[in-house]
Amino acid sequence: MSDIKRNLRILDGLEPPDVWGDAETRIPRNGVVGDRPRRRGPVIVVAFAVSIASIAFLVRAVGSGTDGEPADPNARRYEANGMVLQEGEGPAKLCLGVILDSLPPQCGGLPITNWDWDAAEGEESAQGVRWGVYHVVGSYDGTSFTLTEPPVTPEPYVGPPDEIVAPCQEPSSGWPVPDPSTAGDADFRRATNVAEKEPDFAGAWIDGSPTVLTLAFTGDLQRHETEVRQEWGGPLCLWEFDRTFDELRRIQRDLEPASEELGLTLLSSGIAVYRNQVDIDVVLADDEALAELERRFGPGAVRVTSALTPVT
Amino acid sequence: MSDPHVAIEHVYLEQRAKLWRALVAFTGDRHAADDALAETFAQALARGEGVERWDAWVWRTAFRVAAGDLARKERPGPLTETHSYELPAPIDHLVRALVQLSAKQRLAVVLHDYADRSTDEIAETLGCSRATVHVHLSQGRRRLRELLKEDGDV
Repeated sequence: MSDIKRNLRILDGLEPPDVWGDAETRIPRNGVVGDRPRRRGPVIVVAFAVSIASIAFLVRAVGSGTDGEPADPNARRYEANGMVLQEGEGPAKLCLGVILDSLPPQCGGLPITNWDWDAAEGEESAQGVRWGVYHVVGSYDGTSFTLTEPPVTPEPYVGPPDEIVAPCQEPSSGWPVPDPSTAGDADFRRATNVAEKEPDFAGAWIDGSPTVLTLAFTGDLQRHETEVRQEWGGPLCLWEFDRTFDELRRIQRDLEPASEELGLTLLSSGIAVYRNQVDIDVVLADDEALAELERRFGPGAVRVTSALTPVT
Repeated sequence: MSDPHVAIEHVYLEQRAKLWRALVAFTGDRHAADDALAETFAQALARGEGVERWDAWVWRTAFRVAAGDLARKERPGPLTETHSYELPAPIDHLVRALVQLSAKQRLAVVLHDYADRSTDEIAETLGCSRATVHVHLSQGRRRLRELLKEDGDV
C-alpha cells in the first residue's frame, strides 16, 4: 500500500452521520441562478411547511435566437450569475430555474445568441454537453440573451445569510425549560400539530441548541401559549405575524396566474414561514409588475428575486 | 430490487460511510459533507429511476454537489478553528494538508487513493480525460506528500 493510501486510511476513524431521514424529506435544491445560501447547522424547518411550500417550474427554452447577431448597443443591459450549458451543436443557454445535478447537468433557460466557449474559462464537459458557471452581461429581448461583454467567473455570494432563527429575544437567564420531560422531538411535533389546527396559525420552526420552538399566529398569543404548553415543556417563542399560513398558501397559488397576467416568467415559488412571505423567482422583474404584486397581495407579502437584473 | 426507493436505500447503507468520509476529506468540513450526502440521496430519490448503476451515480453526484458548493463559496484556504475542531488530531492534519491541493487534485486523490473509484469514473466526475485525471493525481500526490512530510506524518 502506498504511503498516500496509508495516510488516507485514517479517515476510516470518522463516524458518519445518518442523513437518510434528511434525504427523504428535503426538496432537492435548485440551481445557481437566484441561489440563496443555505444555513448549515442545527436548523430544521418543520417538515410539513417545507414539503408543501416549494414549487419549481421547468423553464422551456424560448425562441431560438439568431446565431452571431450583434447586440443592439442602445438596448438596456442586464446581468446574471448562472450556469451556461450547451448540448452538442444546439444553442448555448443561460440556465434558469431548476438545474438537475446529473452528469451532465440538465436545465431549461434562455438561448444565448452569441456564446463562444473560447471566450469563457473553466468549462466542463461530458457526453457532448459543455457547461460552466459565469457572470454574464448582455441584452434581453424577451426570448433570448445576447452578450455585450465576455463572460467572467462570478464573484462568491456575499449577501446576508437567510437565517432561520427564533425571533424572540433570549431571556438574560437563558431560555426557560418549564418541563424537561416534555422537551423532546415527539413533544415539539405534538405541540406543532396542536398549533397548526388553529385558524390563525402562521408558521412553526425550530432552531438552535437548546431547541427553541417558534410558533407564529396572527393574534391571541396568550391563549395559544397556554394550549401549547400542555404539550411542549422546552424553550418556546410565540410570535405574531400578519398573515396566516393558509393565506400564504393562497397567495402562492394565486401568484401563478397573476405572474402570467403581469408578464413575469415564474421560475419557482416557496413559502418562507419564518419571514411570513412567499418567495418567487422570475426571469425578469419590472417595477410596474412589482408594484402590482404589492397592491394585490399586500405590502411585504411577496419577495421577488429576478434572475436578470438591470446593469446600473 | 425493482423499487428504486429500496435500491437507493440499499446503496445508501452500503456507501454512506465511505462516501461521507471522502466528502469530509474533499471539503474539509463535516457539515458540508453531511449536506452533500443528504442532497445527493434527496436527488436520487427525486429522480427515482433511469439509473443503471446507482453507486457510481451517487459518487459522481455527491462530488459534483460538494464541488459546486465549494465553487460558490470562497476558495478553501487553511482550515479555521471552526472547521477543524470537530476532527480528531491526525485526521485534522490530513484534512488541513488536503485543502491546500487544488480542488481537482484533491478530488482525484481522494476518489482514487481513498475511495478506490476507477479512473473512468473520476474522469466523468471531473469532465476530463483519463490522461488528465492521471496528471491531477500525480501532482496531487506529490503535493500531499510534501505537505505531510512538513508535518512529519510521512
